Amino acid sequence: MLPKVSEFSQFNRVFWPFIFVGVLLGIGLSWSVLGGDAQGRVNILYLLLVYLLIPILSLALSLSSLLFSKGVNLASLLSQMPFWSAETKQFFRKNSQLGVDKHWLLWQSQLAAIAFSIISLLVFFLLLLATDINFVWRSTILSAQDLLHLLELVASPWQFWPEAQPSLELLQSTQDSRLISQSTQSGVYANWWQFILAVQIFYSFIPRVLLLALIGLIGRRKLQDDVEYKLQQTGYANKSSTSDDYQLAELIDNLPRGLTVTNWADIDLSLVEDLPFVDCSKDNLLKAGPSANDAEQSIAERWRGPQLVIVKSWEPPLGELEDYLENSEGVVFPIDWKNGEMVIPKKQHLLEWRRFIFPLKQWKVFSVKGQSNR
Amino acid sequence: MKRATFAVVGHPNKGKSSIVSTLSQNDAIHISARSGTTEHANRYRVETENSGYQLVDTPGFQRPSKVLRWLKNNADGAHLRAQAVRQFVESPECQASFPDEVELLQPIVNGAAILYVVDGSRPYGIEYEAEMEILQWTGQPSMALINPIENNEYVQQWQDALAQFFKTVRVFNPMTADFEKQTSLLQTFAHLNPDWDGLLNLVVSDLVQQKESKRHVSAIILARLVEDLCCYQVKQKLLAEEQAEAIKPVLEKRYQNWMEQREQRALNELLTNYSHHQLDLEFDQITIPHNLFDQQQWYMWGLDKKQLAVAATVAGATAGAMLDAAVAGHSFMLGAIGGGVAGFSSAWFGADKITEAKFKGLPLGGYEAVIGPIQNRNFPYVIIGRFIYFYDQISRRNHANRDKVIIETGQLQAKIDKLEKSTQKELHQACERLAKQKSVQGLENILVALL
Repeated sequence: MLPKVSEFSQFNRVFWPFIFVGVLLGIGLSWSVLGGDAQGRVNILYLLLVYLLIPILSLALSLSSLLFSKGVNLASLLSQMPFWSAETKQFFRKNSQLGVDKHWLLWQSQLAAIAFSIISLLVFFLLLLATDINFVWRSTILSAQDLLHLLELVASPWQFWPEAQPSLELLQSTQDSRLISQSTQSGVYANWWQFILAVQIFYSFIPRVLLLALIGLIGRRKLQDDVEYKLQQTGYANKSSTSDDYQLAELIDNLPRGLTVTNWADIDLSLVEDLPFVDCSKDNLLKAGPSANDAEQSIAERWRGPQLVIVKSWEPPLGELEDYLENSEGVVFPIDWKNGEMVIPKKQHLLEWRRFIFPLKQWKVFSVKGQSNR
Repeated sequence: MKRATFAVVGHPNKGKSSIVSTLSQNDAIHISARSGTTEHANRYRVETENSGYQLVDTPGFQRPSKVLRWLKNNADGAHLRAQAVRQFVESPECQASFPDEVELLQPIVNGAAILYVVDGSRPYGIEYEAEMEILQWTGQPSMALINPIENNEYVQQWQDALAQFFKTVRVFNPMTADFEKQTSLLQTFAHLNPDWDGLLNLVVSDLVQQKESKRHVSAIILARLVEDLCCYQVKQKLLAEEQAEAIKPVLEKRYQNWMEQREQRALNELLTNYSHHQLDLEFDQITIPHNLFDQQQWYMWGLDKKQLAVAATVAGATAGAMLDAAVAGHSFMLGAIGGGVAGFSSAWFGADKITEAKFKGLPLGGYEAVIGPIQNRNFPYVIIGRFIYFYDQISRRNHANRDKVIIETGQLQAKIDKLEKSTQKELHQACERLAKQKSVQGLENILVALL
C-alpha cells in the first residue's frame, strides 16, 4: 500500500501553545471592549477595531506571507528558540527539509485566529446573555451619514440578513455624547448585536477557515511534490518479486552402452571420441540440427534407438531440439571446449540443460565425472 | 511523429532482456540465467521530458530452421519476402506451431527496427544463420549488438560474420556500458531510420538533463540524512538515577535502530532515484560511539532546567503584566519585568529542590536518560562518506546488473581534495555546524559538489 502524506509528515499536527495564545487574546480583547463603561456603553467603533480592522490586517499579513516568499522566515526563527524539546526540534527540522515550515506556521496561525474568533463569539454571547450591553458610537468628526456609507460597505457580504444591516435611523438613535443625556429607549442600543455578530463571522471566522483550508491544501501539495515523498511512492509502487522455481532432470556420469551418437551442433567429434562408450564411428553417427541437411535430418528423425545427443553446453536449448527429442530417447551430452580440448561446462549451463530435459522423461543429462561442480 | 520502436531479438539467453533493462533503466524486467523466461514480446516505453522511444523485449528464436523453411516455401521471389513474413505472423497455424517466432516477428512486421543480439564470448555458429536470414527477409532497418557476456574472445569473429547480414554492428555490454556508451548507442539507433533522428537526439539530451537532476535529488537525500543523523537524540524520563542507568542498553538499541533505519531509508530513496527497485542491500552497520549516554534531571511537567526557567519566566512576566494592567500602566511595566526575573530566578536556583518534592505522593521531578546526539566532528564526514560510496555504485550501476550491493565506508578525503578551496571551506563549515546540531542553509548545494 502506498504511503499517505499524513504518514510522511505531521504537517497537520496542532501546536497547542498557538491555540492558547489565540484563546487568551480572544478572551482578553473581547472582555475589555465588550465590558464597556459603568453604564454598559460599548463603542461600536472600538468593536470594529477588534473584530474588523485587526482581523483584516492580520489576514492581509497572512496572505502576503503566503504569496511572497521573501523576507524573514519566522518559522525558522521559531525553530531556533532554545527551549524546544528534542522531538519538537526534530519536527521543525523535518518541516524545514520539506519546505513546509512557513506553511505550517501559517496554518497554526490560522488555527490560533480561529480560536480567537470562536472564543470572541463565546464571550460576545455570554455578555449578551448576562449583561445589558448598550451599543453606541461616538465621533467628533464623523456624522451618522458618513458612518452609514462605511458600515453599509462592511455589511455588504450579508445583505441576505436584513436584521444585521445598519440603518441611518439606528445610527442616529445610538449616537452618544458625554454632554447630552440620552432620550432614546434603551432597547434600541441592543439592536446592533446582530451586526456585530455578522462582522465577527464574516471578517474573523469565515476568512480564517477558508485560509486554513487553502494553506492546508498548499502544504499538502508541497508535500506531495517533495522529492523524498515521490521517491517513496515510486519505490513502493515498483517493488516486485520474482522467483525462479524449476525442477531438474537427473545428471548421470556413466554412459549406458550402445548409444547412437547424434551430432546436433556441428561439433568436432574428436573432442569426445576418447570417452568410454562413445562410439563415433561413421555407422553409429547421426547428424541433426541446424547444420544438417534435409536428408540427414530426416534420417535422424526416423531413428528410434537410444541416442547420445551432443550439444554445445553454452547454447541454450531451443524448441527445435525439443521437437527432435520428443520422439526418441537417450542422453543429452552438453560439452564445452577451449583450444581444441574439452573443458568442464559451467554449472549454470548444465543446470539449464537439466531444467530443459526434466519434462522429457525418456532423456537424461550426461556430464563427465567431476564436471558438474564447476 | 510515430515513436521510434526497436525490437530486441536473437537467440535465447544472449542478454536481450539485459540490454532492454539497461537502456530503459528498468530493473523490473526479469533477467534470468534460464533461457526462455521471456515468453511474450514485452514493450517498454522509455519516456523522457520531451521525447521517448520504445523497446520490445522478445522471446528468443526457438525453431529458426523450420521457420525459414516455411518462409522459403511461401515466397517465390525477393519482392515477396516481407509479405511472406507478414503471412507467417498472421497465420493461425504458424501462431500455434511457432509461438516464439510469431511473438518476436510481430513488432518487426509492425514497423519496429531490429536490434539483433549475440554473445561475443562464445564462437560464432552456423545455427545463427537461419535467424539472421529470417530477419533480413523482414526488410526492416537493423543493427547487430555483440554482447560480450563473459569476455571479448570471439568479438572479432562475430563482427566478421554479422557484417554479412547487418550494416551496423556494435559491441555493447549491458552490465558495464557507462552512460556515454548508452547514449552513443542511442545516437547510432537514430541512423537506422532518418525519421527518428530528431526524436532520438532529443532523448539523448533529455537523458543528460535527467542525469543532472538525479544528482541534485541525491544531494537533497544526503543533506536530509546527514542532518537527521547528526541531530537525533533519544530520551526517557524516569524517577531515579538508578533507573536511568538501567535503561541505558534499551535506549542504545533504540538509538542504533533508528540511525540504521534512517540511513537505510535514504539509501532506498537513492535506489529509487536511480530506478533500482529490486536490488538487495548488504548493510555494513553504521558505527555509533559508545560514550553517548547522559542523564539529566527533569522537573515539573517533564521540563528540563532550561525549559522550566523559560516557563517560569513567562508565567512571572504574565502575572506581572496583569498587575501592570490593573494599575493602568502606571507601574511602567515593572510588574512584568520583575515577575519575569522572579520567575526565572526561582526556577533556575530552586530547580534541584523540585526533584525531591512531591505533590499528593507524586514526585515533581526525576531523571532523564539521554542518548545522543553524536557531537564528534568527524561524524558528518562518516555519514557523507558512506552515502557517497553507495552513490558512486548506484549512479553508475546498470539496471541489468542484479548483484547485491554492499555498503561500506568510502574514502571521502580524496573527493574532498578534488573540490575547489571555497567549496571545501563551505563543506567543512557545514560539517562543523552539523556536529553542533545547527541547521545549514542550502546544505544540498554544498554536498552536490561531492556527487
